[in-house]
Amino acid sequence: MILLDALQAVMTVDALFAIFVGTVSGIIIGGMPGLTATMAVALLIPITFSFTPLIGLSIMGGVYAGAMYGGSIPAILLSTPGTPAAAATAIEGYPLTQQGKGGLALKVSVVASFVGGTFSVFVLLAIAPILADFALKFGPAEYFLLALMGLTGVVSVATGGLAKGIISGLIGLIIALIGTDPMTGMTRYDFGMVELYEGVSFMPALIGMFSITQMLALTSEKSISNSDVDLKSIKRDKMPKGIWPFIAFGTGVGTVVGIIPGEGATIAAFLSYNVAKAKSKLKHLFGKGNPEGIAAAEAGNNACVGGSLVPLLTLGVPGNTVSAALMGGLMIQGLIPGPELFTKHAVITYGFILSLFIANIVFLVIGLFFAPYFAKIAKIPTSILVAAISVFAIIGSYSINNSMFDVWLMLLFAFSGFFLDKLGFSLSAIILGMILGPIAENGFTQAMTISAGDSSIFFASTIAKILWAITIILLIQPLFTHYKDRRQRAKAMRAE
Amino acid sequence: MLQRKYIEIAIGLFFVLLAVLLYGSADTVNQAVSKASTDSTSTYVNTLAIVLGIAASIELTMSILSSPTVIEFSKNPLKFTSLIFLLIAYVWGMEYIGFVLATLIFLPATMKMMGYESLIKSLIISAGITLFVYMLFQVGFEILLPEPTLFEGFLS
Repeated sequence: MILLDALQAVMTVDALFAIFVGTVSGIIIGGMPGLTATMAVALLIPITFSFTPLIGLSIMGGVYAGAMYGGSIPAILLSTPGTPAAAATAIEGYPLTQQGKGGLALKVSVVASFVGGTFSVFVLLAIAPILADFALKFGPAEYFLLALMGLTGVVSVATGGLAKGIISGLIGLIIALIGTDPMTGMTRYDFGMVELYEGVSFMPALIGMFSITQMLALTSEKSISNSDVDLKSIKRDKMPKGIWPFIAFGTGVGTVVGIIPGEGATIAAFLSYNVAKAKSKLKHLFGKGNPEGIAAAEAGNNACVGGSLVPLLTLGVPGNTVSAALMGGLMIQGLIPGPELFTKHAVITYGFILSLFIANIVFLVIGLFFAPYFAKIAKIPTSILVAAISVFAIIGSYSINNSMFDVWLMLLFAFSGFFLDKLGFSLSAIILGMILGPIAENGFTQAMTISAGDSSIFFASTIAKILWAITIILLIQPLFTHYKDRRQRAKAMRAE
Repeated sequence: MLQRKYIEIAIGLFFVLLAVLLYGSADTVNQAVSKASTDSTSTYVNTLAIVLGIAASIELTMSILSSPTVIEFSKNPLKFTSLIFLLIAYVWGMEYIGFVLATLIFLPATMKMMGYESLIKSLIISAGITLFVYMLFQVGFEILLPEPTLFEGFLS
């Protein structure tokens, strides 16, 4: 019954138009190398704030799905991945374009993206309500551990090393301390600034760290892509035989990887690509233009969309930065992620999930008929891009609270974020720390108050033990990889 | 060109200092209210401070032991610093001359700085973007964009 109501809500002209606009915008942004889905969703939040929750979320969901697919178009036609997740696609896609088979590569890419995206949304629809129901069993201690696990997931994949990843997460948690103490109601660490009484709003931080930092990075580039697209050379081809097992495999990997906090579309794409390479009967074609590689990689990165929304919608823990930005979008509409989304706000939540199915259909149609034209987007001069996006980032930060203080805050986060990123600190961990900070603090302080200061409460329940186990595994994994790399390097040096 | 090692040592020291200050602040921040309700908050803040202190000390030690390498923040330092300057000037200027005028100056200036050649085209594009943002936020969403305050004194 709720699903029918949600379907009715999505099938209105306004909602369908919103999904269409969101998906097309996503393809455009995903197709622009240097611009990310996180940036797109973050910049859209101030705009969608004025819409009804379902319309706003449908636009953001469409952008997420569209951007994940959009990255593959310039990857295939220009050898310039629009998103990091499309890098694996470029390895096989561009050689195919050079062989005059760009049309085939684009078709495989869009079909694989559609299958991966659609299946993961089915999984979201099927397991999210069950998990949300299960979340009702969580107490304050479990919520603290959940936040800790979510943050550890991101910290563990930080490229600058584990120590820098942990520091990054802690920066976020410490910034989240600013403002009013949830237990005592006293203000703290506000430096006497009235604007900080309610804490540091994470939207200016998100926009600064994921939009302006990108613009600063683009100052080094004159043009994003030096290649050009020959539209006449792109022919329509049939799907190659034997491609479906690779699509299915990528879909499964992407969905599972998406659910795990911290892991993201890039990992899913490369993991699927590498396994496809190992399993293929046409191994010799890998690197020279093998559609199987495109199929696995694209199904993998698009399947992350539905997967990454599972922990966000059910437990309120965003697994990656795009879902963190989406969490901002939910919260600004007054929707607190967690079990309530599936009870009190069920029509909106199910409507949002159903809108993702439609977004997948929209990009399938666009991809099949208009994909080559979108590659032209990557040719937009960086001079226009940097100027225009800077204005949107600044006005977007201002419009959330009509506050110039937020704009200055955004610039502060942008400049310091840029330098920290260059030094190997993780911006994703900082932003997730800021988002998960209140959840972690409330959980920790409430649990400690309930147990009268006895910390064994964090180990008491079975759920707590499972969460500890996952957190420890997530922490050990990078240490093990680091140890293995060092041993291999030492072995290579000895051999020399 | 900057030496990565020394920047990382400075950053490491900063985080160690932050951890010490945070640890020291946990009790003073909550002195004003009853002990029972603040103990858990203090424990939380102290835990964050201790973990930060340990991680920052590890990072600091690794930085000291590392061999010096050069770090390049931008391949084009002039454009990079110019954009930072333009962004600050734009936000600062917006408070005085308002959104429309500030944007009409910022956009062509940034495009020129980034290497866009045609002045006429850049002015047309700038006007288009300014109009679009104004219509979207001010007219569409009824968000009051910053208005000029510089001339208020002359007018009143």
